[in-house]
Amino acid sequence: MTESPTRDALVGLFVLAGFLAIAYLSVSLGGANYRGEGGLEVIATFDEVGGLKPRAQVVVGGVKVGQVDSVELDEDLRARVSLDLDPSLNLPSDTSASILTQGILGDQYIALEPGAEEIPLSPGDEIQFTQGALILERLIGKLVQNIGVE
Amino acid sequence: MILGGSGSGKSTLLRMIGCLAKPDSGDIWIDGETELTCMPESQARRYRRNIGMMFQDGALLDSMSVYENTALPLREHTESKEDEIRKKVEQVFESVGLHEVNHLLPGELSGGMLKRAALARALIMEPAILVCDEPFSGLDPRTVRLVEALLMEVNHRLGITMLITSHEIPSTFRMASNIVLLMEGKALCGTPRELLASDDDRIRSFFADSVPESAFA
Amino acid sequence: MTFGPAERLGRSTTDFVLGLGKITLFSGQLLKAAFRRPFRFRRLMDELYNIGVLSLAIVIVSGVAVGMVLGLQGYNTLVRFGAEESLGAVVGLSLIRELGPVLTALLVTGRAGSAIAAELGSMVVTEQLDGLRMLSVDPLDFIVGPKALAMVIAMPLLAALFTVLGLMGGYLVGVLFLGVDPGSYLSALEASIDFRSDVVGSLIKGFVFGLLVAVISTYRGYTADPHSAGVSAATTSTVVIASVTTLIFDYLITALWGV
Repeated sequence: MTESPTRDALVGLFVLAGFLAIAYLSVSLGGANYRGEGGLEVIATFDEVGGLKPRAQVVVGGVKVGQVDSVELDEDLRARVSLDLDPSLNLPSDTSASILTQGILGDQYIALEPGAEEIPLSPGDEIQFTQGALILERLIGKLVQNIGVE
Repeated sequence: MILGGSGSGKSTLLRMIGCLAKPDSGDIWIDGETELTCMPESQARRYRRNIGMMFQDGALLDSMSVYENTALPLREHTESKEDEIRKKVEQVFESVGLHEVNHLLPGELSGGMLKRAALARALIMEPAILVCDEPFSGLDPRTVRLVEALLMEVNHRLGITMLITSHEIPSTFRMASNIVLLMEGKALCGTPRELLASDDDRIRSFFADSVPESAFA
Repeated sequence: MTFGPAERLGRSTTDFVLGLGKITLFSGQLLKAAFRRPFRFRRLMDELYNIGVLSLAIVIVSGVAVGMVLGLQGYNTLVRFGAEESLGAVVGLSLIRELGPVLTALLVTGRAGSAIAAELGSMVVTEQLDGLRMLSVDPLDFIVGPKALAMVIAMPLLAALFTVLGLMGGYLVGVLFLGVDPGSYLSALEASIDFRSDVVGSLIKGFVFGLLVAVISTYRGYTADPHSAGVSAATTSTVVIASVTTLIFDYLITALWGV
C-alpha cells in the first residue's frame, strides 16, 4: 500500500486514544480504590460485621481514608477486620470504629470516629472501641419481642 | 509450450514446477540435479528466485500500485536504493510496453495491460526460466497477437527459457519450439512439425478444428 | 451416499479435531512469521488502519449506546430500592468486566474479522498469495502476519475505548437525563472497580479475544477453497466461529481469573 501521512496520523491517534482509555480505566478508576503503599495497617474486632466485605470503604467524617483489607475470624470467634488506612492521618489511638450501611440496603462501610489521645495509631495496633453492624432483621425481631412483652 | 484442453492439468503442472503444489506420485527434476517434490519451503524459496512466473490473472496484489507490485521483489531481496529500484522498474516497464501506469492499482488496468504488468513483475528479478500460465486468456484476438509478439521479443532479447501453457492452438504453432500436449491423462511431446506429422488419431482430432487440413503432412 | 446420524456425528467430530490441530499448527507458523526479520512496520501500520481506525466508528456508536441503555435500565431497577446512587457501580462493573470486551470482540469480528477472511480468501482465489510465493516472499510473513498482529494490538485498545465511552453514555443518561448526583455516580464507579480483578481482567479479555479473532479469521481466509463460494464460506464461518469462541473463552477467563 502506498504511504500516506494522514493514514499514519489516524493510526497514531487511534493508538493514543486507546492507551488513554486504558490509562483512565487503570489509574482513575482502578487506582482510586485506595492503595496507599506502605499504608497504615490496623486491626478492629467486631461482634458482628454483617455484609462487610474486603475493599469496603473506610471513612472519617464521610471522607474516604482507606479500605478493608480482609475479614476473618479470630481465636475467640469474633470477626477480625484489618484496615488499610492513609498513614498521613495521624489518627489518635482511642479512635473508635463502627460498621454502617449506605442507605437502607446499600453497601456496608466502616466509619472511624477520632478520639482525643495524643498518641497516634501505629501499624498493627488494634482499635479498642468498636460497634458492629446493625442487622435489620434482629432489630425488628427485638422490637416485636418487646411489644409482645408489654 | 504446453497445450491441452481445460481441466487437462496445464496449470497444475506449472504449479508443481513452481513448487506450489506437490504431485500425487513421481518426482520433478530440474537440470537433472534439483529435486522439487521433497524440497523444504526454505529451499523452495531460494529455488523460486530463478523462476519468473506470469499468472493467468496477473496475481498482482490489489492493494498496491503496479509500480509497488513490480518493485516488491527488489525491495525484498536486494539492498537496492530507491533510485536504483525506480530505474530498474522503469526499464522493465519500457521493455514490456507499459507506460504511465505507475500509480494505478491492478484493478484499474485493462486485460492486456494487466498481462504486461504480470510479465514485468515476473521479469524484474531476471529469472533463468519464465513460466507463463495462459498468457492469452481473456484477451481479444488483436491483443493476443500483441502479447504473443511481446513474449517472442522478450524471448529473443533476454534469451531465457520460456514455459507457456495455452489452449490457443494457432499462437502455439507460431511460437513453440517444443510442444507438450496434455490429453486424457497422457503427455505427448514433440516439435510442432512432429505433432502435425503424427498419425495418432487423438492428436489429429485435437488439432482438427483449429489447424487447416493442409497443414498436416 | 447417505450417512446415518451416527456416521455424521463421527465425521463432524473427526473434522473438528482435525480442524483444531490444523489451526494450532497454523498459529505456530503465524507466531514464527510474526517474529521473523525484517519487522514489517509499514504493513502493520496499514493493517492497523484497516482494522483499528476503520472499526472506530462502530465501536464509538455502540459503546455510547450500550452505556446509555445500561444507565436507563440500571436506573429503573435501582430506583425501586432507592439505590440509584449505585448506578455508577452497575454501569461500570458490567461494562468493564463483560460488555466492553465481549461486545467489542463481536463487533470487530463482524467488521474486521470478516474483512480479513474475505480479503485473504479472494487473494487465494486470484492467486495473489501464490504470486507472492513465486517472488520468494512468504505470504504469512508479508500479508497474514501483519493482519493478525494488528488485530491483537487493536482489540484491547478498542475494548478500552468501548468501555470508557460506555461509562460516558451511562453518565449522560444517569446524571444529565435522570438526575443522579454526578458525585455519587463517579464515586460508586470508582469504589466498585478494582484494578487487578476488574481492569486487568478486562484487558486480558481484550487481548485474548484479539488473539482468537486474529487466528480464526486469518486461518479461515488463508485456507479458503479457491472459488467464490469458498470465500463466502470462509467469511461466514469466521464470524460464527469467532463469535462463539469469544463467548466460550469469556466464560473460561471469568471462571479462571475470577473477574
